[in-house]
Amino acid sequence: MFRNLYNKTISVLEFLGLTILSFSRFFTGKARYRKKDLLLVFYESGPASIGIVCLISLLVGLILAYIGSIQLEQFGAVIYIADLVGLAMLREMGAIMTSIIMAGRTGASFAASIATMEANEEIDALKTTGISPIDFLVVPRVISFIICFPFLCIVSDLVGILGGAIVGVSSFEISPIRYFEQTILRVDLTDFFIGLVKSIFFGIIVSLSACYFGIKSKRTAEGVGNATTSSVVVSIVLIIICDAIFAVLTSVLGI
Amino acid sequence: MNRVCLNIENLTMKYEDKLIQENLTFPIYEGDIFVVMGGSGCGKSTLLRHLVGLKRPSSGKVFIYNESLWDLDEDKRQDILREFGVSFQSGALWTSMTLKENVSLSLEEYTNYSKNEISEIAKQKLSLVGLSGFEDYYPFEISGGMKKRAGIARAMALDPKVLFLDEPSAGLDPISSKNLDDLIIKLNKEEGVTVVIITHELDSIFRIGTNSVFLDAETKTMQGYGSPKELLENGCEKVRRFLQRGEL
Ligand SMILES: Nc1ncnc2c1ncn2[C@@H]1O[C@H](COP(=O)(O)OP(=O)(O)OP(=O)(O)O)[C@@H](O)[C@H]1O
Ligand SMILES: [Mg+2]
Repeated sequence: MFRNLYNKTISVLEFLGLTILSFSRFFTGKARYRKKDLLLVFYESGPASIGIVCLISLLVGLILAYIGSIQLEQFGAVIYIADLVGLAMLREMGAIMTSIIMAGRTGASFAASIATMEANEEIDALKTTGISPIDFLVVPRVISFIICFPFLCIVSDLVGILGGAIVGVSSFEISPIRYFEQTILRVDLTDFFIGLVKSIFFGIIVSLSACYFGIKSKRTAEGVGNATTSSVVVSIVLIIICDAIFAVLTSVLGI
Repeated sequence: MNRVCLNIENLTMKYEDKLIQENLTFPIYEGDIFVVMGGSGCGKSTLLRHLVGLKRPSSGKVFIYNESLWDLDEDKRQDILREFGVSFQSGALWTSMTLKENVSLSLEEYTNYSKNEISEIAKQKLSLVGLSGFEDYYPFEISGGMKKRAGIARAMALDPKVLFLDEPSAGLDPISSKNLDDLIIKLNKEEGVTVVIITHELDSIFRIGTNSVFLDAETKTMQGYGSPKELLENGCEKVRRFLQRGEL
């Protein structure tokens, strides 16, 4: 049991170490990867995911607004729905929802495709060609997540606020202009950036976890399935832990 | 006598705690077509993984031109391994790339040829294994035997000094299989490529093998070393039985 844990820890640390080395090769232009793959991975992590991110964020905005309105209506303060939705989306839900969707969508698909490559000995074939699988597979995925997550997060923020506005305007007769004025009055750039920074961290978490479980998977069909499940579960757990750490840090720093 | 190319000393191979083979000691000479024989599951592919730097020996050493493979630092090891071409038992083609891209990748990485030249070389390597016209196919669009041959073309891309082939003719029809033997002999004779080949095809073993080793699954160690013809005459009983299809 303890030996198992020890081995796992070593294997994670080894993976992280190799990834850092690969990144230093990437930034000095020595990493080996194919531009075509980078583009494909980039498409998967950004443009191809916008639809689902929008849909979920819109619904989250709607839900937040309805739940908030139950309380706020009693005080005749429905206009504060705008504050609630705006703050919640920017600081928390934008980044969290984006990351959880991406962990289940693109992260899972990365884990499965890398695990399949491992099972087919494709990764061994890379190694015998002298190409580091980390350079070739992990770095492009991590980079495209680091770039795409903040964008998706911004999209999610905006669509979520829109969702809140739809509720405010349609159910409580707040004028759209008044709603957005109220939102802008309450939220500021700090809230926005906190969400954005978080999304970058979450992007790193999701991509590393997907690649790690993919590369370390067993060479069986079951191994591929397990890699996918583990990647999603671990991503989500780590996202929430990381978010909690951010919550503590921001409250200690008073931002 | 030729120079020793690979020297295996007291090699013991394990998966976790499971012993696969122990105390393997034998040289592979430059210019050999070296056959690794043994029953299914005895550890031939595992031996190959140890020779091409994919798996660390549990104990013992693998010397490549007098350098101990696993005592070198990573960069040096990569430099040595670049002289090797490896084709895997499963083909192991990169499924997201066409056959031509599969063959081209190492050329793009390690040579300064232009795009057109690389494309020409890739085409030529594919034609060597009878895959002309399939350059732009993806691995899932071709048959098992074709995958295997494409894997061999990929292994030959950089004109390696040592070529490792894991059951290259398994799953090939007799004619393709004979063509493959011819190709191996040609590479060996004309370009001096050392070939380490795992195969069960007796005809092929006797036709192309200049030297060989027999791994035994029961005793978990090697049971014979020498040219296949020698082993057929003077090898121990197990080896002779293997070489006569069990009819002894
Ligand atoms: N990743 C692994 N983990 C644990 N055991 C393994 C692993 N790969 C192979 N083995 C075991 O090692 C032994 C040797 O396997 P190997 O693939 O080297 O056999 P082989 O001689 O190449 O057989 P074949 O002729 O069928 O290809 C087998 O008993 C197999 O069960
Ligand atoms: Mg095998």
